[in-house]
Amino acid sequence: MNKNLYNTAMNKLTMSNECEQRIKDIVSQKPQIEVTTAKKKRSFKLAPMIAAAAVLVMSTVTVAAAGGADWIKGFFSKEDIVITDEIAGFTTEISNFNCESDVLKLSPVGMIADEKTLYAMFHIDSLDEDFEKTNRIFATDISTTGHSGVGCQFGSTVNENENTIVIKYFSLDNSLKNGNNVTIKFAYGSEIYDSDKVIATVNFTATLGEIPNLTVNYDDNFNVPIADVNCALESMTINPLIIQTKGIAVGEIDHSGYNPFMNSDITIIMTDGTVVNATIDGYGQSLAESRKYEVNTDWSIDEPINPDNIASVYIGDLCLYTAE
Amino acid sequence: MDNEIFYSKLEKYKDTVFRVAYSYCKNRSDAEDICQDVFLKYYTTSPNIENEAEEKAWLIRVTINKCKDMLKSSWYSKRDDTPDTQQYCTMTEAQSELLDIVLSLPDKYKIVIHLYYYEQYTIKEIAKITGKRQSTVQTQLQRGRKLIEKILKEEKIYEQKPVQYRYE
Repeated sequence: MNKNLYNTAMNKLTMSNECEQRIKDIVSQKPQIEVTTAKKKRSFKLAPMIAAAAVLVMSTVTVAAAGGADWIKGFFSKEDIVITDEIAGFTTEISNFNCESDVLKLSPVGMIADEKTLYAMFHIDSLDEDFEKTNRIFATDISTTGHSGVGCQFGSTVNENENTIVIKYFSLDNSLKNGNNVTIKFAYGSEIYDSDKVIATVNFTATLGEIPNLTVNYDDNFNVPIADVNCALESMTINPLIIQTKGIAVGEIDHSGYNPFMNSDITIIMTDGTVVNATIDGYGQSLAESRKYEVNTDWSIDEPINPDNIASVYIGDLCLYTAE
Repeated sequence: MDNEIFYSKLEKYKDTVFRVAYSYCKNRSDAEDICQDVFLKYYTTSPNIENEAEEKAWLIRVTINKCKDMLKSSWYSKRDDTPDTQQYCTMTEAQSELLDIVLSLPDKYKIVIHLYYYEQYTIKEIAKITGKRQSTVQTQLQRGRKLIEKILKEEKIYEQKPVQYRYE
């Protein structure tokens, strides 16, 4: 792409004077806006605040699994998703929920999880007015019995309209068992890795739904010719929300920001003929031996599916799975 | 927020916000409505922002969210989203052609391309602004670039003039 050409074209797109004046007029005619927000912002010093947290906001609720599971749509950008009773039945029951915080009060909206994956949604019941909500609250630490994921954002986002925080986490490493306690810490700030700024900790017990999984183990040398380098798949696991593939890539790889399947999507064909796509949502490469890399890739599915109803799975034109 | 401070911020960031909004809306009228919402939100909430880079990122983030909300709304989906090409009248043919192509890309690709090439953000910064993983941003940037190349190639083939024969 010709960067200069694009930039010179963009330079010619400017806000009109009329629009600028309209905004100024609105602001100048509404001084009362200023009054309502005139309270001086406190500087954000979290550590002492937490140390001095005299008031703990505690709540305990139980979220029923099925019924009114439309919240599941909040995990997907695709429109017109239908949440069937079958999909609603995959939800996790959350019990003994409590939220410890003096500034942020959360309640559970719902969760779908299995031993490897956790999709959770929390409602922001209240937030101290000194905090700006948009995209600045994020899950920074998820731990279950035997697992702790520390120091990354876990794909959490704030949906300001719905007043919810959505978490997608793919790396539970088979650690989440039925009846485990789950702890999630929420931080506030602009730096993803700044986990010192924890403002709330939620704890709950997770009773996992009956989630079907499809696991395909490949023979040696199942090469994927569309990959950018020579790459062989070892396994593929599909749950209702994501696909995880494991493989070995051979070659000189810049593994900091590269995945052999970067230019490919996975296509799932369901038994009723529906076609669902999955796109790469994350990956990790680690050196197994000289010029050999273990490539683990997470693919987000466009809409929730029942893996029991998969007819076939393709990457490009290459068939990865066909139901017998 | 003091009005004079607000006016200076408006002057400074108005085109940045407008260009992001235009990338999504592809027409001046909707883009300017989004700009109005974004700046009024900035004025009323007075976000507690530590520096100018953060301030600009905040405005872009809110603009993207507002655009997504608008695109999701039912009234918008019923509209004709043909680009408002009147804006292109001061551009060369090559400029308007490239802009047309970029704006025709899926939203997830074109915003990453805009932030990377025009605003010169790094992959890490774009990931932070858009709330995506760095690997996702990297993939979307690469796919967006390939799509542009593909469309440009197809257009060249289509526009190739027939061979002109010279009569001696």
